Amino acid sequence: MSQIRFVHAADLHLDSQFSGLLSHSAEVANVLRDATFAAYSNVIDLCLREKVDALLIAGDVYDSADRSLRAQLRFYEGLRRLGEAGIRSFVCHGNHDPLDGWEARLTPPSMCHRFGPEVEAAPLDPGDPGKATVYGISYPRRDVRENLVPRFQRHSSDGFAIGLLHCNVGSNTGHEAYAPCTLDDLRSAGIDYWALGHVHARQVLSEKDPVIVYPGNPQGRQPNEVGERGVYLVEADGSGRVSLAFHAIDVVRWASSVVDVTGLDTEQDVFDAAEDAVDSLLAGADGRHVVYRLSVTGRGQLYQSTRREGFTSDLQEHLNDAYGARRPFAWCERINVSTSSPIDRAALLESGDFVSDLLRLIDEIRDSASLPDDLRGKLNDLYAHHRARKYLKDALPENEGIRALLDEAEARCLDELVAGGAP
Amino acid sequence: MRIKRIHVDGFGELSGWDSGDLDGPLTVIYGPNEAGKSTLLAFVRTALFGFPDKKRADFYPALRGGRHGGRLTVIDDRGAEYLVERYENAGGQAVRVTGPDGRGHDNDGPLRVVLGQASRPVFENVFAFSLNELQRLESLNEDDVSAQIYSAGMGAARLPAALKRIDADRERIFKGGGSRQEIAAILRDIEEVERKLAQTENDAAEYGRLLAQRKQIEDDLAGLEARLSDLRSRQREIQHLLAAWGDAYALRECEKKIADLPPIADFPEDGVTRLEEAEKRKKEYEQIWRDARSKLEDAEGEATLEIADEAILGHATQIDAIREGTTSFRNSVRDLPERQGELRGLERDLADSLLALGPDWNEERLRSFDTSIAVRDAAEQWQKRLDAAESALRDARANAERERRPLEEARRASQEAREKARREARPELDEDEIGRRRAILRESRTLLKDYELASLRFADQKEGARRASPPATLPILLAVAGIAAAVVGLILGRDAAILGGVFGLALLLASAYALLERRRSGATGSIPLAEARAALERSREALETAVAPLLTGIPKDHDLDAIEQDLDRAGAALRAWSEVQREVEATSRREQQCEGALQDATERLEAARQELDRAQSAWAHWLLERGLPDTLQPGAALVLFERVEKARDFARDAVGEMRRRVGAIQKDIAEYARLVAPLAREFGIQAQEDDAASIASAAERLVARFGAAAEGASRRRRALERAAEARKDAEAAERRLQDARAELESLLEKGGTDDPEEFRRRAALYAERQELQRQSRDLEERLRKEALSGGLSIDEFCQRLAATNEDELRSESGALEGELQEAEAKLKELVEERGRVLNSLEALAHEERASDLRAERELLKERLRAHARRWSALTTAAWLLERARARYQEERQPGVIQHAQDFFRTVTAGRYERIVAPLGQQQIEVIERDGTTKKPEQLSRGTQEQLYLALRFGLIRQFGDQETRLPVAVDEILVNFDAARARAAAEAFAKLSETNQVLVFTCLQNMVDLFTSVVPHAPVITLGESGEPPAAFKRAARGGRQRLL
Repeated sequence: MSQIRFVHAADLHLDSQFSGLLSHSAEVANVLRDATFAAYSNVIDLCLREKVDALLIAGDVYDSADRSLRAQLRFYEGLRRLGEAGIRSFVCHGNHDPLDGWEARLTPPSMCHRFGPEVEAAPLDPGDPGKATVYGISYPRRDVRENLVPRFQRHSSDGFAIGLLHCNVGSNTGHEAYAPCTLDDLRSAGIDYWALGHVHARQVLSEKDPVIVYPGNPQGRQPNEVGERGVYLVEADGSGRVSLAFHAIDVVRWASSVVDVTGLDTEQDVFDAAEDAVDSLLAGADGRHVVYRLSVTGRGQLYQSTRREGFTSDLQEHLNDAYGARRPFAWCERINVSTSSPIDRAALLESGDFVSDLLRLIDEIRDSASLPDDLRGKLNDLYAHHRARKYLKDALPENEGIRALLDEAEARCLDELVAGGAP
Repeated sequence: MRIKRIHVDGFGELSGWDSGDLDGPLTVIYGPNEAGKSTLLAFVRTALFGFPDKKRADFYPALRGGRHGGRLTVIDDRGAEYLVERYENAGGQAVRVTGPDGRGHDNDGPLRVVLGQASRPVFENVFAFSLNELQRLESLNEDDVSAQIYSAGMGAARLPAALKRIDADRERIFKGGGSRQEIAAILRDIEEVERKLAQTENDAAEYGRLLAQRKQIEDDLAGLEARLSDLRSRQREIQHLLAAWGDAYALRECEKKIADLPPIADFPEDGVTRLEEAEKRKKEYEQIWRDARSKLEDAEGEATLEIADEAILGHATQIDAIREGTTSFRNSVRDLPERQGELRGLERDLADSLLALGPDWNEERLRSFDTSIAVRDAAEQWQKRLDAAESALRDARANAERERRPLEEARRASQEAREKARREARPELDEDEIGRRRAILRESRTLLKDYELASLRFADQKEGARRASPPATLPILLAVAGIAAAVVGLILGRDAAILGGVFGLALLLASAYALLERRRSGATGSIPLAEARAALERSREALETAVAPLLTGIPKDHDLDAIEQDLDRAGAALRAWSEVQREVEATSRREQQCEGALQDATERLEAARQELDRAQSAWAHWLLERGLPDTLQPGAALVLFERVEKARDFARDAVGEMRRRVGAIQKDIAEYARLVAPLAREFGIQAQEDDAASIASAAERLVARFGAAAEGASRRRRALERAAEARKDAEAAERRLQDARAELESLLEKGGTDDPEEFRRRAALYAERQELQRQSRDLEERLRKEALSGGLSIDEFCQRLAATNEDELRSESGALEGELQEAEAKLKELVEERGRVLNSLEALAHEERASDLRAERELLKERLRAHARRWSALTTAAWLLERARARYQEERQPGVIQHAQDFFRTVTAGRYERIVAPLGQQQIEVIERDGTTKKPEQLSRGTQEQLYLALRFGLIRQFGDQETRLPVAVDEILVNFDAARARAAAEAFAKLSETNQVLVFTCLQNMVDLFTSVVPHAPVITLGESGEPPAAFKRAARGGRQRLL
C-alpha cells in the first residue's frame, strides 16, 4: 500500500447565516454573509496547494432549510476546481442536507462521489483500487435516529479503509443525537480512519486503531463557536500509520472577552480596558476578522456608570468605530453588563427591613433553581405569545438562565430601593 | 423637643404677646373665635421653619404693629436651651439661633438638629394640625411625610415609584396585545423578512428549468449552424459561376474573331501615324520652297524703280531748318497785330496817370522827379512837427480850463473858515494856567492823604488810651454764676450739691483769672497820643497852604474832584478854539496855491500858439522849393510822391516791355522769309519775301518734295536687302524637300507596299488582331481568379460552367437566399434566448438577497431574544417586589400602624381591632372586632377623624421612636367626637404629654374643662380681650398660674 493524503472536512453549512449577533455594520454584514463560502474556498485552496488525493466532506454541506441555490452552486464549483486538478472528492450528507431535502437539480462534477442512502464503497483512486477505499452513507432524511455504523462492512482487499459518516458519538456532545453510535461501535467496524461530521467542536476521539476525528465546522457561526476552526490534513503511510495536521481556515473568528471594572475609577478606564481586550483578541486571531462579545463584570464604584442607560451602546459604538472599519475588523456584536453594586448585600440581608425580606425571597428562588409557577405564567405572556413563540423557542430561562435572570432582577430592585448604593 | 416660651413682636393680630414659661406637659390655649389661636399656631410654625411664601394663607403680616416676627425658646431632649429669633425685614428674613453655649448662628442649622430633621410639611401635618387638616385625608398624602415616615419605618418608601418605573420599562418592551412596543416592532420586521425569504425559495427550481432550457437551445443552435454552413457554401459556388458567366462567353467570341483574320506577321510600329507625318512634312517643304521663290522675284523688281527730285536730297540741312521754323513763323505772323494793339492800350493808360498828377506832368518829368526816401522822410518829419504843435496847443488850452475849478473851491472854503473863526470866542484859561492848577491839585491830593492818615493815627491813639481801663463785668458775672451753682446744688440734694459746688468753684476761679488779665494789659498808652496830635497839626497846615490858590480851608476829596472836572472842561474848550484857528490858516494857503497854478497854465497856452504859426510857414516854403502848391498838407504830399512812383514804374515796365516784344516778332518774320525764298526759286516754286502767305506756301511745298524723294530712296534700299534673303531661303527649302521624299518612300517599303492606301489597310488589320489577343488574355485571367476564390481549378470551373446555364443558376440562388434568411433569423432568435437564459442563470447563481435576508432574520431573532431577556428581568423584578410586599405586609405591621392601632382601639373602646396599611400605598383599612374590613370612607365622620388622629398618633410616636419627640399642637380636633371618645382621646393626649409636649388650642369651654380634668394641673392661657375671664379661669387658677396678657 502506498502513501495517501486527503483533507477531512465537515459541517460546511454553506450560506448559513451567523446567529446570536445583536448588531453589525454593512461592511461587517457582507463579510459575515460570505464567510462560509470564503472558508470553503480556503479548503479548496488547501487541497490544491497540498496536492492531496482527495477531499472528504462528512455531511451538512449546506442547510436544506435555507434553500440556498448559491450554496449548492458554489459547492460544486469548488469540487469542479478540484476535479480539474485531478483531485477527487467524496461527499456524504447529514441531517441538515439529507437526500430528501431541498436541492437544486444540479449535476455533481466529475471526480466527485456522492454517497447514497446505503453504505457504498468507492475507491479513493479508481486507477489503483487496492490503495484505499472510502465507505460512506448519506442521510436519506433529516431525522435519522438509527445507528448507521453497523452498516459499514469492510472488504479485505480495499486497502486503507475510510469511513465517511455524519453521526453523534456518545451522548453528551451538545448536539442532537442523529445517527447515534458509541466509540466502541466505531472501533469494532474495521475502518482505519473515521471521517466524522456533526459535532462543530473539533475533536480527535481516537488517535489510532482506528483514528476517529471530528474536524469541527470550518467557520464558526455563533457566539459559542469560539476559537480557531478548520479541517484536518490526513496522511496515511504505506503501513497504515496516520498523521493528522489541523489547518485553521476560518475567515471570521468568534471570541469573547471580559472587562472587570473592579478597581477601575472612570468610564474611560473601562473603555481603555475594553480596547486592550480587543487588541489581544485581534492579536490572537492570526490576521482574521474577529466578532466578539464583551462582558463587563466586577464590583465597584463604576457600578452606577456601567448600569446607566446608554453605557453599553456608547462603549459598543466606541469600539466599533475604532475597530469595525479596519481590515481585519474586530466587531463587538454585544456587551453584557453584569457589574455588581458596592452594596453590602449581607448587611442588607440582615437589616430586617423590606429590602432584607426581598433579598431573602430572591435567595429562596435561586436555591430552588426553578421559576415559581405564577412568575413562569407571567413570563409566558411573551414566550408563549402566538407570534413570538416560534422565535423564542427554548428561550425561557432555565437553570443558569434563572440565576442570571434573578441577578438582573435583583440588581434592578436594589437600584430602585437603595438609592446611591447605600442601604 | 419642647417649646419653653413664645414671644410675638408682630404677627397678624398679635403684637407684643408673650406666653411666659410653658413648663407643663400639656397647656391649653383658650380663646374665642378670632382671638388669635390660629395666628399663634402659625407663628410657632414660622419661628421653627421660616416665613412662608407671602402668597400662602398662613403668611401673617404684622397688622397691629411691632417688628414682623418674634422669638421662641426651645429645649431639646437633652435639656439644652436654644433661642430662635426670626424676623422679616426689607431684605428678606433673618434668623438667629443662640445655642446653650451662648453662641449665635445666622442660620437655622442648629435648629434642624433639634427638630430631628423634621420638615415643615411633617411638622404641619403630623405635629401641628387643626380640625381641617384632620378632616382632609390628603394632608397625610404629602410625599415628604410618607417618605420620612416610611423610610424611617420600613425602608420601602420608594416601592410604589419603583414599581411604576419598572412597569413602564416593561411595557415599553412588550405588552400583550400592544403594537407599539419594541418587541412588536421586531416581530413585524421578522415576519416581513420571512415573507421576503419565501419569495426567494423558487429560485432553485427556476435554475434547473433554465439549465434544461439552455441545453435544448444549444442543441438547436448546433443543428441550425450546420445547415446554414451548407447553404452558404452552395450559395457561394452559384455566385462564383454567375459572376464568371459573362467572361466565359466573351472569351469564346474573342477566339473566333482571331481565327477569321488574315495573318500579318510584321508591321512598322505606329505605321499609319508615321506615314501621315511623312506625307505632311513633304507637303510643307514644297510650300516653303514656292514661297521663297516668289519673294525673290518681287524684291528684284522693286529694286530697279526711278526717284523724282532726287537733287533736293542734297539740301537736307536747309529743308530741316525750314520745317522746324514753320510753326514759329506762322505764330509770329498771327500774333503781331494783337501785340501791337496791346501796346497802344498801355500807352493810353500812362497818359491818364500823368493827367491825374497835374497839368504840367509828362513822361520826362516823371523820370526826373525826386521821390527818394530822404524827401519822403522830410515830409513825414514836417507832418510830425505840425501835429505836435497842434497837440501842444490843445493840451495847454485844456489845462488852463482845468485849473479854474479848484481855485473856486479853495476860495469858498477859505471864506467859510473865516466865518467860523469870527463866531468862536477866545477861551478864558490858557494852557499854562491849566497846567499850573493841575500841579496844585496833585500836591493837594497827596497832602490830603497824609492828613487823613494822621487823623486816623491820632484817633487810634485816642481809642487805645480809652480801652486800657474797661469795666470788670465778666469776671463778676462768672463769680456770681459759681456761687449760684453751689447754692442750687445744696438745694437739690447731696449729689447735686457736690456737682453744683464743683461747678461754682470753677466759675469763681475763672472770674479771678479774668480780672488779673485785664490789669496786665491796661498799663501802656499816653505818650504816642501827643505825637500823633502834633503830626496831625503839621499835615493840616501843609494842606491848607498848598490848596490856597484854589480854595480856602481844609478841602475834602470831593472838593478836589470838582476842581479837577472844571480844569478838564477848560482844557477841552481851549483845544476846540485852537482847532478853528488852524483851519482858517489852512484854507487861505490853499487859495493862494490855486491862483498861482491858473497863472502858469495861461502862459503855457500862449507859447504853444506861437510855435504852431512858425511851423506852418516853414512847411509852405519847403513845398514851393519843389514846384508843388504851398497849400498842400504834408499827408497829401506823401500821397503825391506815391502816385508819381507808381506811374514811373508803369511807364518803365509795362509800356517798355510791350515795345520790345513787337520789335522781336517783326525781326523773326523777315529772317524766315530770307531762308525760304532763294531755295524755292531754285526748284521753280514762286516765293515773295515780304508776303508772308507766299513764303508759308513755298516752305510747305519744299518740305513735301524733299519727303517724297527721301521715301523713294529708302524703298529701293529695302528691296535689295529682301532679294538677298529670299534667295537664301529658296535654296534651304529645296534641300529639306528632298529629305522628306526619301523618308516617305522608306516607310512604305517597310509596310510591304509602295502605296499609301494599301499601307493604311494593312495597318488596320494588324491592330485588330492585337486587340483581340489582349482581350482574350484578360478574360482568361478573370476566370482563373473566380475559379480560385470558389476553391476550384480553372478546368473544373469551366466544366461546371459548361454543365449548366445562367437561368438555372439564378433560380437556384434565389431559393437558397430565402432558406438562408429564414435560418439566420431563427439563429438570432435562439442566440438571444440563450443570452436571456444565461443571464437569468448568472443572476440566480449570485443572488445574495436570500443570504442577506437570512442574516437579517438571525439578527432580528437575536434582538428579540435580548429584548425578551430584558423584559423577563423586569417582569421578575416587579414580581419579586410585589411578592416581597405581600409577605412584608403579611408578616410585619409597621410601627406607625401598631401605634395607630393601639390608639384607635382605645378611642373606639375596642370596637375596631386592627388597622391595615398596604405597604407603600396611601391606603388604610380597618378591621372590626368581628373581622369586617372597612375602608375609611365607609366610617362615620367622627370615626374617620378618630382614625386619622390615630394615624397621626402612630406617626408621632414612630417619629419619636426614630428621631425626636416634637411638641404636638392640636386645634379643635375633638369637636366631632362623642363624649366618651373625646374623653378617651383626651386621655390619650394626656398620656402622649408624658413624652411629647402638648399644646391644645380651643375656643370651647368644655374642651378646656375636658383637658383640665384629664391633666389636673394643666395651665390655661387665655387669648383675646381682657374683659370677663372665662369660666376656666377660676378653675385653672386653683392649680395652675393664671396669666392675663
